[in-house]
Amino acid sequence: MENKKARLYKYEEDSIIVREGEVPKEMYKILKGNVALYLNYGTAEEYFLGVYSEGRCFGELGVLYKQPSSYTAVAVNEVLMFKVAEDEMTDFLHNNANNALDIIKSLGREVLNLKENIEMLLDELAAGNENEKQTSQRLQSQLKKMLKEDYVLSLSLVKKEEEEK
Amino acid sequence: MEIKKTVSGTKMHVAIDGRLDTVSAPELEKRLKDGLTGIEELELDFQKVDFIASAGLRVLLSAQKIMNKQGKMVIYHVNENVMKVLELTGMRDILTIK
Repeated sequence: MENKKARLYKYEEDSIIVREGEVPKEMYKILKGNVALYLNYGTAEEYFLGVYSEGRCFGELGVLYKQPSSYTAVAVNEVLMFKVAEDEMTDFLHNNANNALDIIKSLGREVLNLKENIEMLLDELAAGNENEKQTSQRLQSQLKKMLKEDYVLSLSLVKKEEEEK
Repeated sequence: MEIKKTVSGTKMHVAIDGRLDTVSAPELEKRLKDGLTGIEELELDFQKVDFIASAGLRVLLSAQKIMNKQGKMVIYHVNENVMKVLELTGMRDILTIK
């Protein structure tokens, strides 16, 4: 739950700050605590993207471009944040040059994070293909072995039958 | 992936060998959750972890949240590739790595 005090907001652990698919009306700057980002949060297809910490901004695409959030942001612990609406952006940037730098850094890290997530997914897919290949080879090998054992067993049974005759 | 878990009093040492990915992460999560009650110090040895994916990071976050309430968690011997992932995803900021 959020605790409003001026423009500072406090979120308790596990609180959802932004939901995937919703357009954030404000940009957030983390002053204290950590925020985890997920795709498909709370579903079987949940995918963890990473963690934002102090100084990081998010939700800027919603404020500036009215774009829906591509992730759900959840408080990892108690989080204290500053919220900035669209009509406050100019003042926010003008009053403190570090704010502009923090937004640029956040966007930059987001690009790097996306790149890393794409690489992780590709690596997992490649490993998955390799696992399937290995599984297939193992099954084929087991099958051949079973067929060979069956063949040997069949041969021995035929031989035994012939001997008995 | 192989997991070697040893418990001594309130201290748990977990050595992981292999990839921490979508397939193996649930197993680690289960092994950790099954034994964390009463543990005040959790050591994760990453010497033989050569790859970590989103599912693995999620398990680390979950374990860290539990240990924040009952003690501490430290990850040892993180290799360069895994460290790069931890840094880029922001996990480096919330974990204790030695």
